[in-house]
Amino acid sequence: MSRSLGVGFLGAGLVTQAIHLPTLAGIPDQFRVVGVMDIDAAVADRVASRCGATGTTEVDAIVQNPEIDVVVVGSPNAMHAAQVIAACEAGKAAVLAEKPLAVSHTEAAQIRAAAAESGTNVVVGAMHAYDPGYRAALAAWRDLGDESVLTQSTIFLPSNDTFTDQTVEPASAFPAPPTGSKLADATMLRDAALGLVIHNVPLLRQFHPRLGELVSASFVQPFGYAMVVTDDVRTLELLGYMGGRWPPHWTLRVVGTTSDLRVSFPPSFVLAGSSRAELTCAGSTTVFQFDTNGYQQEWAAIYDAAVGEAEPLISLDDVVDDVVYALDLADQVDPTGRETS
Amino acid sequence: MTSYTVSIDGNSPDAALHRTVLASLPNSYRLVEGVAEVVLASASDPASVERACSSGSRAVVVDHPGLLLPDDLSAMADAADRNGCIVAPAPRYAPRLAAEGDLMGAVEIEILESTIVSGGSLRSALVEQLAMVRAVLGAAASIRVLHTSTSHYACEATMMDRSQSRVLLNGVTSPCAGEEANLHALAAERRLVVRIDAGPVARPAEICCYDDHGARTPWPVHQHSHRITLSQLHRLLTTGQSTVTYSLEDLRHDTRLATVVVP
Repeated sequence: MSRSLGVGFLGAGLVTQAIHLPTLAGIPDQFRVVGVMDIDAAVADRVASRCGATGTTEVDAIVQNPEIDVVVVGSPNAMHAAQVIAACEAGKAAVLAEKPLAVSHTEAAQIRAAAAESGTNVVVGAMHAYDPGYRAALAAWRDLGDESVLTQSTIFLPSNDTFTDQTVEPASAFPAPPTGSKLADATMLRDAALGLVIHNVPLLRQFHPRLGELVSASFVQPFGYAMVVTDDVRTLELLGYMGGRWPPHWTLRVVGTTSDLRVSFPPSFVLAGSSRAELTCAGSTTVFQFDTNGYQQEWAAIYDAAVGEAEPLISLDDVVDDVVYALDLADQVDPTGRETS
Repeated sequence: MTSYTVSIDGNSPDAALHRTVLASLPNSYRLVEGVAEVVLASASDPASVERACSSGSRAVVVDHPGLLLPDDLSAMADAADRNGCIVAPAPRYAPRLAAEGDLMGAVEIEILESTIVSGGSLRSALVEQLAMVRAVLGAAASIRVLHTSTSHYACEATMMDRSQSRVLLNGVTSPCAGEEANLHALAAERRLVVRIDAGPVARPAEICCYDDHGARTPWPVHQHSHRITLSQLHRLLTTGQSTVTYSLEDLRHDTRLATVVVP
């Protein structure tokens, strides 16, 4: 007989409402939502009432609640590390933290130590790292024994409203992104590295493990970027743009010495199945595509690890190394934001 | 319809492709041995182009034009001028994209990214890529190298007329992955995606333009780029009213830029 795990949310924003709650609604035997915390009591109560949970404005009401096995950290970025560490110290089975896991190298190191000490499974909401289409293609690519030459991450997205309107009615209005900002391009690029590029960092590290040197970076108004990094052997190209008036395009491409891997992901916020991954080698192409998506696989992996049926799909070291990679990139695009000791 | 005699180098590795493409234009060209009105040559033998010009041919179509060096091209241009011969470079990707017209219109293109996977010369690949980018943004003014190796280049181009566009060009030698060129042009209002496979003779290019109405895809045209170039040349020879997609001057310009990246 399966065991049902209690889930508590820290932050009841868009990701909680439009991604995690719809995903959990499909697996009621494995998870039950126990508590929802938000600084806005009305939002907390409204979202909690949708899933039979209790609303609260107190972090400790979630973290210290013994009925909660899994804490979801969906708060503002600056709070992620402290809340993840608090959940580890409270002995939770798992923490699912939104990206970025941490905003400094020091925080990343603290999380590594806290999770190692408590044995908490720290999972980051990098859904594409769990996408079954991508993972099957990655396994096939590894079997080829190929070496990557060029890795490209392209994230061209229309407004998120396009997709969130299809999933939930937001409980509170979200401010429009700033336009005409006077912030320096470098600061915006740091935000891009830790806000958008980071989605695919766990994937990029599989093909471009050593970041190397940033050789080109430009910010694109109103919010986009073009960056190129090279480690002298491989090149990593990062392109992003948000707010276009066209369908989404979220892809990963890896051109190797003997193969060409292309992965096309569905947009965030919707349960639209896995990516479609195509691996071409020696004139033939193999396609990988499944009915479940990265979010669903992410929760399945959390469950399996929590009940002892499997090891975490992504290790603690990899989770922390992912954010360190993103922070290293952010420090290169914006040296003024680098942490000082 | 006027039919012109055409000769090819039967020993060239591309001879089978050339015969196949010419066979798809039976009313325009008639394959002959020896002297012909049109010569379909490979750039791997630049002297053959000069010989064709001086032997009375009216036109020479040059396959793999990116293999030519700036000095070869100067000599070729001189020979063409002296003999009143048309030299028509025949890139393998650009004619298919250019045949669809101006798909992006006057929108401000923020990012253009192109990746080309080639089984051969990287310089040739870059020339092919610059020819293709011309169909969207016009000619490049300069190129900055970001990374080069024996199997890869990454560079940024600044365009002559649309210098605000960020243009990233990648070329990879990957013999087993399959030769193809990709281009992605992005503006807030419109997005153009192009994928052209250089393998099968008549596999159509995948060209799609996205905007807030969805996707718009031109009818697939099942023909090789060389067939487009040869058709354009036929009209030019017959009516004097046509041009080829990629001129010798275009090739000379792009070759000078490409030589900076891949000497």
